[in-house]
Amino acid sequence: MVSTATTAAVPRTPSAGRQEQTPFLAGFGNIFHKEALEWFRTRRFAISATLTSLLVGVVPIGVFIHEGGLHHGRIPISSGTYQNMMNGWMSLSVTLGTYLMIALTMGMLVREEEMGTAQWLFTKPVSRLAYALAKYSANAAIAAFAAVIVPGAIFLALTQLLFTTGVQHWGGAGIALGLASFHAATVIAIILALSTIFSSQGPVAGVVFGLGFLPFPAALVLPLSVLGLAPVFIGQPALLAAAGQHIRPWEPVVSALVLLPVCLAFACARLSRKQLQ
Amino acid sequence: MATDVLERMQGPAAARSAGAIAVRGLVKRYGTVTALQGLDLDVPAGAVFGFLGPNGAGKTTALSILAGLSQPTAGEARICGYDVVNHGMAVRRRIGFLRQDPRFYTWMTGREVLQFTGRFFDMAAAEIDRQADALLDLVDLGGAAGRKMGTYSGGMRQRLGIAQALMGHPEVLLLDEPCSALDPAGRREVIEIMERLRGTVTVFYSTHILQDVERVADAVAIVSHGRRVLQGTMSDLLAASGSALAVEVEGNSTALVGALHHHPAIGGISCEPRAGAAVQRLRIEAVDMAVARRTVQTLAVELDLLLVSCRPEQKTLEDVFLELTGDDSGDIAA
Repeated sequence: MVSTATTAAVPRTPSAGRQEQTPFLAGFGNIFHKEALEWFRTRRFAISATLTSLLVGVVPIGVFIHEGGLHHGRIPISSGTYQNMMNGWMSLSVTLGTYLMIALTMGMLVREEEMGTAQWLFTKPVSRLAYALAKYSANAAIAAFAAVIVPGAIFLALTQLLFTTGVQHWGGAGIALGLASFHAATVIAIILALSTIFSSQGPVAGVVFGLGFLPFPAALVLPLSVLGLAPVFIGQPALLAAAGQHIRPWEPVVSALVLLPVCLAFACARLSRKQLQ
Repeated sequence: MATDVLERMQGPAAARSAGAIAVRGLVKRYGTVTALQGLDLDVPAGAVFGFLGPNGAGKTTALSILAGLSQPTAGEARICGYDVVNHGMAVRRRIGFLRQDPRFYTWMTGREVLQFTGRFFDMAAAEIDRQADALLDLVDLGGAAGRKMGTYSGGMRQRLGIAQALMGHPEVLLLDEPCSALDPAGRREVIEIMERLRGTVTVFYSTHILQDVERVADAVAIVSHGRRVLQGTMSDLLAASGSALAVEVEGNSTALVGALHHHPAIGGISCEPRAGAAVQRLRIEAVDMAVARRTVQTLAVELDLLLVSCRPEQKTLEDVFLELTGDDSGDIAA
């Protein structure tokens, strides 16, 4: 029968009253696995780890390798030079690591929507919370590994092998690596949050870069006690930790500890309400 | 193997006996633009249902809401009895969705896309592999299963899109313009797959290609400007739309035309001029089809004419569509 009339109520099947369990993180494992696999299958991990290892792990050593002749097969360096070398490594780790992190992860949500693969996944039994958290955790873990931990491990190994001092403070170096990785994870959380606001990669990258430089012009109007809260200054305690010195200040670390979950919650809330076509 | 998968997809009998999709008063606004203006739909379970309308009629918007990608401004939509807004996860467990121009991860192979999809449905790894192989056979991509998606043609991607939509034994398959971007060969392949799915799963597909609808759909709804203008089975639709008789008579039809002219059951008569031909063709617009047909038969006997044929004029879906959508039908492909 042909019908053009409008009827009043939507018919319900017997199953309509049945409440189905909605797993909070449905699809998390599958998306995490896919994200991790993508880093390796697209050679993104190999390329970024090699590049950062050369820039962050080898360059600071290369700068100081000419200092003097060999002593018992190793290069003798003063404690001042050692400090400078550790400073160079950690500064590069935080700055170059951050830039690389932005370049590697700025498309983690936006590109999927541009390609249409996000729309594909959202029609599957996947919770959007799981999608956001799986994307974040996989990218943060692997990007931090590629851009901070691998080059850091290479730098420390070369320092131990090539210089008479070796690595003087393994514990401090470990804490420095941890802080630099935490900084990377915070940057990625900010990228995730921005990716739910902007619909293309350019503004996401631009705003994250801008936020990194914001404290410098802000210093003209804000007191240092306020500016010191900016997570971008995590490099300072990391630098001191690497050199075996007392770690201070803690404020950027604490503010990053607050900022990271706030960014994740913001991203999850925005994504769960996002309308796609 | 593929048949086995189709049999398993049939789902619970209760769900199949009820309507697969029910939509009432669906409204969707994007700022000042209203894409859907109170859409109503009833899609019976197990049907191949054509959702027909010109570009911009609101087909993709309606499908996006049904698939859970966007939320309606007003109205209600249910799939297998589940509200698409409040029970989104339950709906997504029961549907397979194919976007217009589907995209997948280019670094994955065809088989990996299906395996990745299957893992969302809490299936065992062996069952995922088994179903992936069966579906690759169904869409005739078994030979390309190991190739990366980046090397697939548009038609292959579309067929894989249907296969991924079928992973997890969905009860309802939502296909958004599955043939619009394909060449004739690719279109035929996709239509053949849809024909193979008939009776195993409810197929709800949007299109503006009338030829495909006539070939494969059991029922159809026509939308225009965000509203349903007609819904029915294909045969009902075409029969109900026919309001003229095609008559062929042998002999001088002038007297017949004269006698019919003022009959209350006849709206108008046009005669196809065929100089010298023994058989004359008349098109008689009927006010009442049954009465008009009886009148023609009676008069032909009375006037001693040989009535070669007298049957309702067969309208095509294109005729119906153009009548219903008028100026809005500029993008339709016959």
